[in-house]
Amino acid sequence: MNSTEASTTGIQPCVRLRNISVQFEDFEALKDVSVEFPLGKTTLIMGPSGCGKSTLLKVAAGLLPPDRGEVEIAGVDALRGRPRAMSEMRKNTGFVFQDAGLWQNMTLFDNMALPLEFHYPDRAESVVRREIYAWANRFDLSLILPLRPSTLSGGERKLISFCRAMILNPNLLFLDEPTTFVDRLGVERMLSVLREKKASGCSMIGVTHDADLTSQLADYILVMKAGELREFGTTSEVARSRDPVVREILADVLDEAATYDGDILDLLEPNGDLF
Amino acid sequence: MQMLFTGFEALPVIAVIALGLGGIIVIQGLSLLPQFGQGQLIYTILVIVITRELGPILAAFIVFARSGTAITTEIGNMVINREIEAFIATGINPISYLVVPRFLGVTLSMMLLNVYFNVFGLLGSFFIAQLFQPLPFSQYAAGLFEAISGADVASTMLKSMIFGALIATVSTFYGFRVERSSTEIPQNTIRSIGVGFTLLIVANGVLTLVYYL
Repeated sequence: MNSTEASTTGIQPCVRLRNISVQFEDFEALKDVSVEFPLGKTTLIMGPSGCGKSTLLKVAAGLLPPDRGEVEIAGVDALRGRPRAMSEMRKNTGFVFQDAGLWQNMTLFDNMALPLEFHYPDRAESVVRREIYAWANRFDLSLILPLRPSTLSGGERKLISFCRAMILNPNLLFLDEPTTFVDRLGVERMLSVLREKKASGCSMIGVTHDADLTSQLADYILVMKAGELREFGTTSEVARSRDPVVREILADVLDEAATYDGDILDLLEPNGDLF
Repeated sequence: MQMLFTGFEALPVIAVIALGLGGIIVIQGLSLLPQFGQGQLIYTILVIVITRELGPILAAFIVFARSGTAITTEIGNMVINREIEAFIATGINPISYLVVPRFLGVTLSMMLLNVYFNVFGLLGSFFIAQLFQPLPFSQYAAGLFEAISGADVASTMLKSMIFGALIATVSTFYGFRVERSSTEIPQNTIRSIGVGFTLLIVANGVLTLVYYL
């Protein structure tokens, strides 16, 4: 396969990237990348640190305008789309930031309330409150809702960022290292929510080093190196890859978080213990 | 909130500067002008200096130094903390949500602070004048009202409105120019002050020129 082009033939994409290039000063973070993320499936982006995973995710989410190329999210041109179409598209998407991205001058309650109040201005305050507490209770966070983000631990911030992304009940989710800093129980609760979203047909695109997340959620895996796509396919296709660079990257990336014995690539095998 | 921060909290410093400026004009004017038999000109000078020229520009400098820098820093920090990206991800246009309220708040506060500056500057000069040449307030007020014209009021309000818009635009623009590093925040704040003060002085010159055309 062409190193910078990937598509899942025959499957309708939720996000389509064409010839994306991103330059940070003298550093080329993404090099002419084209990819179509399949609708209703979970695609996890993997690669060594600094290879452009988060940059690709942000471009795919329409948060980072590329220097060249086209971005289409749920059929909407993310770079030149009309404001109403963009707003409607955003209403159905959620993004969990690597460093939480919470609004610092708002309480956690307000952080979760703002998306609801913005997209559903007619929704009663009591309903908004109930929805927020329902999500917070699911993660044992209801007591800290009156606080501001600066008083929280990294894990709590991440969980609130996760709840904020979920509050609009999105059908397209972007996850940038969602489990980093989160304790075991928090990760399990997060995985439970993500499994529900996956079962409901939500499309998910994520960046992770978490072996559990990969084994439980991934339908497709995209492997990157130095700003280029190295491999893209179903988990079993990628696991069967004979490309030594892909195998090395997967082993290195997953090994950072895995606690399993044996060949790390077994985690991706359809017949492996985790499938 | 923006008006509270930009307008209300700036009242003490505006009052001190306005009183000081009014006092200086009166002290200098009352010591010099009567020597030429032009004591009445003090009212015209007060109106020209406080209402038309220094009132709007000094109030603008104060607002820029306090609120303009704060806006640049705040927005710069929001960029670094991914808060702007979070607004976009949620579908909230950061320009509508962050810039428009600041633009309106700073512009309106600037106009109100200019009125406040004028009131304190002109009142302050009355109290200072009592030290040199005691005169009834009615006489002082009559002299001022005779010297001030509708064009003076329109000029000062127009200037303060334009200065407010300039301060809000420059400070938010430089806040959004921050891209990745927290060290860009002070750099952009310094740039915004340099560019902002220059634009304020140029705008003041142009508007004064237009007034006399």
